[in-house]
Amino acid sequence: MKRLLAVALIVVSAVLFAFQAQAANEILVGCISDLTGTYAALSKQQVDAVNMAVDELNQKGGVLGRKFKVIVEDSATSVSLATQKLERLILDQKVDFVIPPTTSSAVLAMMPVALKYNKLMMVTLAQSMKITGENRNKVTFRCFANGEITGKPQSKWMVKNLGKKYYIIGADYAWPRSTAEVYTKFLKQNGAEIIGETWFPLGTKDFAPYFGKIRAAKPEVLLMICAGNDAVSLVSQVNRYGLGKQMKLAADGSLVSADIIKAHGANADGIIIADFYVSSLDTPENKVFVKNYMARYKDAPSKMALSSYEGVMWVAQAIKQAGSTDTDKMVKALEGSTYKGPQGSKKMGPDHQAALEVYMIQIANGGQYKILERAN
Amino acid sequence: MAKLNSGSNFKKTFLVHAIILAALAVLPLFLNGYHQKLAVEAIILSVFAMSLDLVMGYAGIATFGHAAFFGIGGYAMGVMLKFLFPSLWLGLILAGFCTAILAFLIGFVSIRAKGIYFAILTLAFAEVVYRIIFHSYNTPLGGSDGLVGVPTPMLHLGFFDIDLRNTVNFYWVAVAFAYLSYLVCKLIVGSPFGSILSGIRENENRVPFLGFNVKWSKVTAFVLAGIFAGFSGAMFTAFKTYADTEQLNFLLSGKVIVMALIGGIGTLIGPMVGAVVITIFESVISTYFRAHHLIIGALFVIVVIFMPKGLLGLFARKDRNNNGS
Repeated sequence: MKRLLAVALIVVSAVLFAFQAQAANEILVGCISDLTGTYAALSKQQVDAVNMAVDELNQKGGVLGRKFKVIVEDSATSVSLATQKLERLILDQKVDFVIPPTTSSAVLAMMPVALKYNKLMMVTLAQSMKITGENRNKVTFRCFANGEITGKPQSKWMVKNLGKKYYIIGADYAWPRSTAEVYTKFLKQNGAEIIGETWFPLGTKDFAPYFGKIRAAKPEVLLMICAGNDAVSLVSQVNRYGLGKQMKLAADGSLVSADIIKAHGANADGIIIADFYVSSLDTPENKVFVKNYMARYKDAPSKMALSSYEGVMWVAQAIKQAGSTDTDKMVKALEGSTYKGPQGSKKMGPDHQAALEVYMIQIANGGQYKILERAN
Repeated sequence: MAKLNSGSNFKKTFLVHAIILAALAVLPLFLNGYHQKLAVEAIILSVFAMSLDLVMGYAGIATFGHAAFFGIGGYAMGVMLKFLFPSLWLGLILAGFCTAILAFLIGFVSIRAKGIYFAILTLAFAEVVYRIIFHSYNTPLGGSDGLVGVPTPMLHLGFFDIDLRNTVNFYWVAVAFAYLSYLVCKLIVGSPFGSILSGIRENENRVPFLGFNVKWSKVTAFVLAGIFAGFSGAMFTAFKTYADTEQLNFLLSGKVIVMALIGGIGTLIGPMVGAVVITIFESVISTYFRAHHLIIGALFVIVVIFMPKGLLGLFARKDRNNNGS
């Protein structure tokens, strides 16, 4: 019996190992997403948006007479699994391009693999500065914002409108630190000064000990950089201790992103951020997009959903222009191209980073995004 | 499993090894690119799981921080290949050196605690190592972004070079690496020192009366296990072209225990099989089911309850009766 069980296990794994699927004339979109783990919620939006984009493309008959098909792989918030899945999609499934997952470290590890097999990747969620710019590689593009896209115009706007003395509080890991560096650089360029910084460990529950130090420094603006549960705890305590009465509150957009804005309730009201997209954006294209997305998924699209949708559409446009799914031709078509989507019109820069329009946004009326003005 | 040096058994063992090695050698010719890559990863991880067996299976010491050595080995290889010198040999030497020192420090400090207290101390130390690397933002290690863009080296063998950028070449090197590691570990557990370890596992209090130093034997086992984990991590980084904090994480420490237990501890070969099974399962199942962690968890529970000696225990039993040992 036990031996039978063992043999059965081995047979099952062998069958799974050998199982392969091949598609004919379709344009295959490989979507690697962190569907299990920390980023499960926003990764689901990524997959939803990719599926929606592909369905819309297929309803119009596809591109070059070929329909699109999505192959979703779960990378489970793991770098090694993400690279394995990329190899599977490229070598086994022969996809035509890839939408990689949220985790920056995974995308950074995937980039050399994609380059080796000459396969296009359109980054729709990962934020690390290292993905584009001077460390870019030939096949990797990004239609999502990195820290500089929002940080640069936000810094300029804040110095003009909020004040010149800044105090930064953030979670102690690579992303907040690198984001803070961007803010510091641009705030200083605009003539402001950073009078203090506090870095708290991930998962901090009690922020009161930090507040004394912040108050004593007497900043004009408190700039908060963290996300997820940390953001919810920080914002609720900043509100309870009344810091907003002594200084202005500003943040990186992730502090009040769509996935946690409900958890903030009214606590986040008054906080000022810069971001490239909120679902309330008032353009005809966005109204159609939000309506369709709401009809399908019963929820407003986040900037992650928007970015994943636009990423697929942008590559599809490049395929049409190139007349082929050959990677070199797609790369050439993408470089310097302009795409107009729900978020607006944007150009793919020579650094492989899309130049996005950015808006100054204030949280108001119990967690609503109020667009103040265009920031760049 | 027969000893390596006993008459007719040696012939039989030699034959078995030769057949397994031959089968492994031709395997990549039947696999497509992705499965070849997966096979290399599984074989490299099998050495990691085997190294855990030295402390857990033979010396009977539970450790929850084994990934620290795998990760440090990986970072050592990454630093060597990317910043110092593109040589697999030097990377392995640096990995062995770093993990030996780290394992000695952790082992020496923690070994006065026993059982679960020791295990918790190893977890704590591993977490410290993880946090330090995780926050090494602005250093060449890259913090939580990982150390990426590690070049794959040539393997210099004196008279000729092997290009490891070719997956099949790397596969054969990985098989040789795993087999040599297995032989060395087999020699270790078959030596008088190995008997002391088994003695410690069976009855720690009696071993001192036989004139052996329990503490130093345990530390030595811990260091040896750390070194082999480091080698494995180093090979992993050389193959995957990155070192990431995930390789240091406690989740991996847990996964390697699952690998070892599913394969069957105290056999060396069992954990190797377990590592291969889990690696393939995880990668392949996650493609078809979202709840792949649940499936691996269920598999683990089934194996622990119904096959306490692991997958290998089912097949080894008959063999053991025949040998009468």
